[in-house]
Amino acid sequence: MRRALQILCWLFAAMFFFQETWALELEDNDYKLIDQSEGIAAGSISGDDHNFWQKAGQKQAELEHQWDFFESKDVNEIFDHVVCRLWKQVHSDLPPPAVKIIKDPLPNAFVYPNGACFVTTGLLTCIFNEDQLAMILAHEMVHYVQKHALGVNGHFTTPHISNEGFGAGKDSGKGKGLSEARIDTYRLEAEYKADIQGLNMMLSAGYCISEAISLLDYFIRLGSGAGFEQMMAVSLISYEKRKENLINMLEKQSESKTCNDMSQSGELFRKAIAPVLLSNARSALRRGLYPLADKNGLEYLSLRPLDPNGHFVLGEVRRLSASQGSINDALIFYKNAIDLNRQFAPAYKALGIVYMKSGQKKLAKTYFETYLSLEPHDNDCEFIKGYISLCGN
Amino acid sequence: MKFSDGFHLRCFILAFAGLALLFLGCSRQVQSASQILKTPNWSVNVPPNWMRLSKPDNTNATILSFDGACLQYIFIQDRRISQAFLYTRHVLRDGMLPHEIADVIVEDLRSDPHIKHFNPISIEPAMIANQPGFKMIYTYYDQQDVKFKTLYYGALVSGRFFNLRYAATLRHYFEKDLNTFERLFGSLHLK
Repeated sequence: MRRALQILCWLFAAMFFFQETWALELEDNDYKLIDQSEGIAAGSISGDDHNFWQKAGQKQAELEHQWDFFESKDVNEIFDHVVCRLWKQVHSDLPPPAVKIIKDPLPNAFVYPNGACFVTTGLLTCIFNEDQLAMILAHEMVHYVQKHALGVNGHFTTPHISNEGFGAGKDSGKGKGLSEARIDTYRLEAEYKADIQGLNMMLSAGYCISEAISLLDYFIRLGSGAGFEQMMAVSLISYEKRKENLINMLEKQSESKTCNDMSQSGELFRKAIAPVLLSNARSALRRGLYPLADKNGLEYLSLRPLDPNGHFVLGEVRRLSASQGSINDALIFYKNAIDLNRQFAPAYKALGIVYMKSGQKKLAKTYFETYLSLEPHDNDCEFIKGYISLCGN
Repeated sequence: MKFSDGFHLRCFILAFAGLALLFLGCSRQVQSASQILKTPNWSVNVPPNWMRLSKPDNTNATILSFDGACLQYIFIQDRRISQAFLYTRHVLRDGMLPHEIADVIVEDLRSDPHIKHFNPISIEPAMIANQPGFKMIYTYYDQQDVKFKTLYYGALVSGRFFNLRYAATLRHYFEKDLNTFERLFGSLHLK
């Protein structure tokens, strides 16, 4: 009897334990695939540098698998030229950074401890000349050469430094635990150094450093613009403070260099990065960022008016934003694209969609059939065949 | 354990049973799903022994699972067309064609920072309880680097976006309950 009671008690206990555990698993948000991961620099607390480099390398490899990279020989040449010119000012045994461009409409740039540097198409479309590109790359190079990420990794042992004077941005150390506050303080300091030393690098390389201030002005305007306020990657130091720091630095410069008129070199630069504008317009379209897609698409069209892709992107912006006036404009852009290239299949599909939705089924069927004749194996072909059958005879 | 007399033994058993029942009752988010799951807008026949987990938020979603949501689940959602997506600025509209809706869903999934290596395998037209929609199959890795496969059905229905998906770890669980999901899908009734 006693043995049976003991078994019963254990059964009750087991039932309680496993039920609670399973309930805990179900309460866990894993089924929604949540659990934001900490960044490598902020999350790593080990003093083991080798482990840190390995983790950074793993994270970078993961990144490279997940993201779409923008490739263009002409744009790569611009980057190579700027990197080379800046790197000559660096006295280090490290290899020069390798820069890759990510197709992402949000402006951002970052560097990994091993020198792999990433810039988004969103950021490139904000840059108007080679000097501004040099500012971005010089900033990241300083992080790389000074090993700031490694510094954050080992920073738990350093004394607390006040972050006043660095103009902390939204994500300052306020309200956080002491360790996080120390990391934030170190990161603020690192950002400040990257700005200042990056400017020195630009100056030594013969770039116009007042262009850095123009770029920050642009970010400030962009961040406050309608539809763009969430576009900007958070800067640890506010753009206004960074601009103030740079102006102070410029005033202290014993040598002042007047910049040559930037307008012509700016025009050439924008022409050279025109493919980035089209790529970013497409990326913005995919995310539903219609104002940005329109902005980039219009500029691309002004630079390359005979490319049907530019007309098509602008047609898509108008069609997907879907007011009646914009649908009529979309039709014009699609037809422009077809006038420039009779084989431009996406425009036929888009016209078919517009006419089908407006009830002009015969016209829709014609365009859909033309589309299928040009792209018989497209991903959407089964859908299009279904729409054709709905259009009747 | 030793008890000096029967009275203490009975007290112990009663106390233990009471505690066990109390804690069992605390797992209120996990319920045995009744055989027919009905809402104002849809109903399905729930497979035997599948549990229901309802999230107390505004997703209008019902989640069913047999082995635990970390291994497999069926997700049924009925959302307003105007409801914004989390990771893109797209908005669904009345009159959108099935492939356009699929494009919006794909972009939202692709932009989801919690999903890694999102890979759409196929997207094709499908009827969802006599409503024209789409069927999509995709794989991805979760934050623990476990590979999942999902079968996703979606359609616009009377000003709402209805979607029904079956997700499970690619290894073992996806194939194990695929037929079960197909039976549930076959029982779907949209109002």
